[in-house]
Formats: sequence, structure tokens, C-alpha cells
Amino acid sequence: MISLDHVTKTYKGDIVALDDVSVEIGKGEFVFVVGSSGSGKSTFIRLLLKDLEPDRGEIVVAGKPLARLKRWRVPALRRQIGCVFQDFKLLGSKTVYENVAFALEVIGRPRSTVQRTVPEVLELVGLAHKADAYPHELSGGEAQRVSIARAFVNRPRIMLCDEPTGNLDPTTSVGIMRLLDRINKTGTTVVMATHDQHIVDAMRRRVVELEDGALVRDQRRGVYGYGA
Amino acid sequence: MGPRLRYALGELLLGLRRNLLMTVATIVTVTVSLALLGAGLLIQQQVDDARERFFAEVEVLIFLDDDIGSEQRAALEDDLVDHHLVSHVDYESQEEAFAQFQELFADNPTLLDSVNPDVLPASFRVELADPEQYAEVASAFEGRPGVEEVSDQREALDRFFAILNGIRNGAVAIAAIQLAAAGALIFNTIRVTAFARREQTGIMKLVGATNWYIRLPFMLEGLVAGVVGALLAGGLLLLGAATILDRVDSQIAFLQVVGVEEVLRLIPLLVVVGAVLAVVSALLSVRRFLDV
Repeated sequence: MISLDHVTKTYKGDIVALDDVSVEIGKGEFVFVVGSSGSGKSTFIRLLLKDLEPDRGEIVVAGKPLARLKRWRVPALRRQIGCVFQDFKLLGSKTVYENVAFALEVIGRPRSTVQRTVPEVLELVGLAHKADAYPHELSGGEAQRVSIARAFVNRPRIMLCDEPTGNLDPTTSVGIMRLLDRINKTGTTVVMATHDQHIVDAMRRRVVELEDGALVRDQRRGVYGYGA
Repeated sequence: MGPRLRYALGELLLGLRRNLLMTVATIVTVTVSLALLGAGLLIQQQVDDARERFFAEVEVLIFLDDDIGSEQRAALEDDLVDHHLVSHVDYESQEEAFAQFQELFADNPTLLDSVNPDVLPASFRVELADPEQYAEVASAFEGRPGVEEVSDQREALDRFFAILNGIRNGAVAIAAIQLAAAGALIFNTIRVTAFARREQTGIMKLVGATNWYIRLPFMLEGLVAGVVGALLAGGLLLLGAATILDRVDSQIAFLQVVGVEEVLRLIPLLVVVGAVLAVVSALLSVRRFLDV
């Protein structure tokens, strides 16, 4: 589903964000990308969205080699990828329902589809009763659930999560991880960048570790650090 | 109404409301610039029209010395008739010139009394195949024995047209500066809107909205300013044509002045110029500030 082949990305020519990284992620996998801040996790995710171009190496996402993907095809790629961020990125002027519906409306989905799918996905993330609330009325965990609902509402093949629990307390984080696990069980490939050690250790999924941009570990059923 | 259009129109109204003052300033600038451009084009039309009409009737007047011999005159006439640029030659004797003079100033006896038949020179009135070639014919016969003077009717006309051309150039130059200012204003208005919507635009890009979908409301916002400005400019010109030009028209009988009809024909062009200017400015702005 995702493959990086000797990918290097530098900023302004000398700051190395990713250094000769090769990873294969299969369909339906759940992969943690771990490493300290500045280790290249966010660069990894942005490269998969074709939000950045690598300096060297080849990236293939959902069967498409990104280097050869035309600019006007990028939206089609992104419709197959759901994105979740640490800061939720919800629109404050829209309700929960509208925030999720927005993701469908702006890709031209008909109103009937929107009216059918949005309640479904709000039900899935457990926020059906908050459909008419505004983001500022939500707790951090609820806001992140809305953000996940928005990412998943178009049934993407891949979910990319950049520190989705970074702003949340441990108990709330567990709920978010359960939700992502459920989404993964529907066959969706999940890639989650995190430095939350407890979560990684608890989930026992594949771990890819970056250090100063280099891939230092790729482990099936891994834990956060070597010492464990 | 499809979801696409509904989104674009909703965002358009939001943008216009948010920047009301700036939108008004933009529309006013577009109006002034396009009105000036239109005025320049109308003057141009007027000049072309008048030039064509006047110059078509321009004759070369060759005034003859009083003591020219009939042989010399006949030779001159032959040369004129043979000249490849000349289509027709009329001879006007001193007597004929005097008769015409009398006719022309019949109601001015003092002037008539002061002029004798032999004061007015005889002349050849030369019609040209191509009035533009006036200078060549004039110089060919200037200074020939028996020729007193070759009069230049065009000199006076040229001075008249130079003034009109000057006015036109001024109008077009100011219009160009104003159009640039209008473009900059639209660019800036869209930038403000783009900044206010940057979060929303970011999300749209993430979920895979196409670039044209993202651009559409911004372009429409520019388009409204451009088209409304153009229509207002057309209205100003119509008002001008209906009031000022009509009065001028009745004053100068020999000049057929451009009027309401020409202005109406000009309006579509102004709308196109306004629309293109607006959309290009908006697109540049969106490219620069949204990277879409």
C-alpha cells in the first residue's frame, strides 16, 4: 500500500529530515513511526501526501508512484488518504456535523451521500449526540474523534495520523487508539507517527523508528524503546 | 443547485461581506479605469471616423500666378492629368473664383466691395486617387513655374486631429495606470480573503478538493468587482454620451459625433477587459497566497 525506496529529504540543502529510508507497508497494516521530535516523522507523513517532494528515492502510495503523479492528480490521491493531526484542525465556525460534512462537500459528493454517511461515521466515533456542538464546546478527546470522523468519512484506504494523542491525557488517548484500531480492522492501513511510549508498548504493533532522519529499527510487534 | 456551486456562492457572499469597504474601493477603481479606457476608445473612433471623412474630400489646391501663360497652364494641366495619383482635375479661373466668392459672401457687401476679380488667383482643384498621398502630389508641383502656391488643407486638419489624439493618449495612459491600480486592489482584496480562509483551504487541500474548486470562490469575488465596475463604467459613458455629446453634436453640424449607439457597442468590450483583469489578478493572488 505504501513503499519508500531509498528516500532522502533535506531542507534548504543541509538539514537532513529523512536519510536514505526504505520501508514497505502492506495493505491493512498498523504501523507506528516513532522517534523524538525532529527525527523526521512529520516529513515522512507529508511526503506520503505529496505535500513535499523527496530529493532522492521513490515513493509509491496506493499503487501510484508519487514522482510521476501529475499535480492535478494529487487531489485524487488525497481522497484515498485520511489525515489526523495533533491540533485537530477543525473549523471553529462549523458544527461537528458540518465539519465532517465539509470534507465530503468540497470533493463534490452529492447531498444525499453526505446526509447518509456523516451520521454513520459520527455514530462510529461515538459522537452522534454532539452533532450540533461547536468545536470550542468539545473536550480534546471529542475534538480528535471529530477529526478522525472527518478523515474516515470518505472511507480512505490509508489513515495517516501525526501525533493524534499528542494533546490528550492517557485515558483519553486509549479511547482514541481503540477507535483507530477499529478503523484498522475494517481493512484500512493506519500509519501513526507518535512519541507516546505507553501507547506503542500497549498496542504491540509494527514499529518503525527514525533517528535524525535515518531508519534505525523496523520491528514486527514492537515496543517503543530497545530496553523494554 | 449542485453542491459545488452552492459552496462557491456561499463563500463568495461571505468574502464580499467581509471586505465590503475594499470591495467598494476596488469597484470604484475598476469603474474609473474602464470609463477612461472607454472614453479613449470612443475618441479614437471619433478621430478615425472624422479623418476618413475629411481626408476623402481633401483636394490639392494649386494656385496659379496671375501672369501664367495659357501654354504653361495647359502643360501643367496635362502633367496633372497624367500624374498617377490624380483622379480628376478642375480648372477654376479668376472669374469663376470671384463668382464663387460673391456667392459665398452675398450677405457681406463691405467684404465684396473690397475685392476685385483679379485679386483672387486662378487655381487647379485636384482630386486624388488616394488622399493619403497628398504630400507627394503637393511636392511634385510646388515651385513649378507659374505655380504660386500649393495650399495644404491637411495642415489645419492635422492640428485638429493632434489635439484629439493627445486627449485620447492621455485618457488611455491614465486608464492604463488605473487598470494596474485596479488589478493591485483586486490582488490585495483576494489576499485578505485568502488569509481569512487559510485554515479552511488547508483542510480542503488535505481532503482532496481540486485546485479549481478551491480557487472558484476567489475568482468569483474578483469577477464580481470586475464586471460590476465595467457595467458602472458603461453607465457613466452612456450618461456622458446622452448629455455632453448630444449637445456638442448639435453645435458642430459638420462633425458627426459618436453617441449612445457606439457606447452600447463598447460595453461588452469593457466587461471583458474588467472580467479578464479581475480573474487574472485573483488567480495570481490565490497562487501566491494559497499555493493552489
